[in-house]
Amino acid sequence: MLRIDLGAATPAYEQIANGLRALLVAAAMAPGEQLPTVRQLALDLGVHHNTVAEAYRQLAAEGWLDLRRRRGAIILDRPTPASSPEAVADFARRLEELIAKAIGAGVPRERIAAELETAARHLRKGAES
Amino acid sequence: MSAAASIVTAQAFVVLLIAVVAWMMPAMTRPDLYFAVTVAPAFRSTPAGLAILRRYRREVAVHAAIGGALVAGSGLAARPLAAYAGVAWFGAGWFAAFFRARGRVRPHAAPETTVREAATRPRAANLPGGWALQLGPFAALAAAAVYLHGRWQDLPGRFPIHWGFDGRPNGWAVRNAAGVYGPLWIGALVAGSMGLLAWLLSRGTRPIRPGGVAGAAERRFSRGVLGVLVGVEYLIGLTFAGVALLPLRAAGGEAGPPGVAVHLGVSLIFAAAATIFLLRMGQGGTHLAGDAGSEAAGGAPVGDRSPDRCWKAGIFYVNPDDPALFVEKRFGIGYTLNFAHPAAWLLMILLLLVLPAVMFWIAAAGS
Repeated sequence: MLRIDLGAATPAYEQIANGLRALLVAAAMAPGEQLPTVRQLALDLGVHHNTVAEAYRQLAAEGWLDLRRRRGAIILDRPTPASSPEAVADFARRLEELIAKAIGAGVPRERIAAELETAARHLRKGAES
Repeated sequence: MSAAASIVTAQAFVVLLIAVVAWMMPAMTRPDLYFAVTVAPAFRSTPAGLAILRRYRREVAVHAAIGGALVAGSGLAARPLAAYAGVAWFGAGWFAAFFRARGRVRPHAAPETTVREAATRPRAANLPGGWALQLGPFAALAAAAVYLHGRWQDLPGRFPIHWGFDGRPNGWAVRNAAGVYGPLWIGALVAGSMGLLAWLLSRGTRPIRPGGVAGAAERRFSRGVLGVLVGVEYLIGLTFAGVALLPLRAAGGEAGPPGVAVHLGVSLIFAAAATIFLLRMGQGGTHLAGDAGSEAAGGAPVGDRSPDRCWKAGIFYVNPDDPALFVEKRFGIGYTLNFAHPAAWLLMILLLLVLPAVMFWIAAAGS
């Protein structure tokens, strides 16, 4: 299930791409499976079809999807790229920003820490499987 | 039963059926939609919510009584056309009752949710029974055409196609292609329009709850609505196939009006059965799913995920930011057009202007 918030500051296409990426990373969808067509997903989310198309293009550029006319978006078997120091630094920076935003919004620090521990456990489980 | 008595009886049945539907309608909508306003699901059970419902039902009962009295009076006064006034009175009265109830609910409206959900699997958009089932009405019309072609020489040069309340014919058609096959063409056009509507509904409607129990119930409801449309196609196809065979009655020496009781009875039974079938499911399948899925993440009422401000008079949906051609009705069972969608107006022009014009032309060519 993909969920976006049209009232959030993050653009809708980015939310769609982020949501689908999270599902792909969690292996909720397997390589070879087909995503909904741009028209169907746009209809279901109540957004313009260009918004979904942009999200699909972004994921295709990252190597997640194969976009073909009339065949829709097919999930690719994407090899995990080697990590770079820049990617790690970017992740750390974004995480820090996200945590700061959450604290600014009033989320208790203990809750943030608990959520991070839960995410870490899931990550370790995923790495082991 | 005479034609006049049939009309009065049919209108009385219509008033009764609509009165029952109007009475039950507030209970058929999604839990967080009350008289076309998004509310907290528990609102309808509060004293304020119940008071609004009681007042609405009182007004419906009064207008149903007046409409019924007009229908009965038209029968007693032997003025069958006045029966339509009874139906019109009740229809207008029901709308007024709904509009007033909506105004009373609006101060209690809940903030709209901006959360949208979608399944990540392609959704099948097939018609019930597929394209094969669509062929049935057209097969009946084609069979009537073949039969008429085989009996062309038996058809009189001129035959009645319309009768007054006195039972005397007052409309005639001639034995030419338009006069004989015209009803079949009209039947094909009308049945085809229903098929087009069903196809557009299957592809142009946005699910409100894509997953879980609520999503499954919603899909069943959608299939039910499409099934009713397919049933209407069959009713239209068979009706016009029967109408096309009427000239053979004249050939057999029968000049009086055809009996309408059977057809009227079948049509009214179909209408009642379809209404009961859909009412039992509740709008969007909500009676199948219970209260499952009435809240979005964060607890905001979901409603139908469309902004209240885009619903004009609670009935007409106008949202240029929504790509959906059809959305669920907020008061009633089934779907309505998004009048901000360009295709909505094309569809309206096709069904309300082009189709009647073509039918009129065919009828005129055959008279």
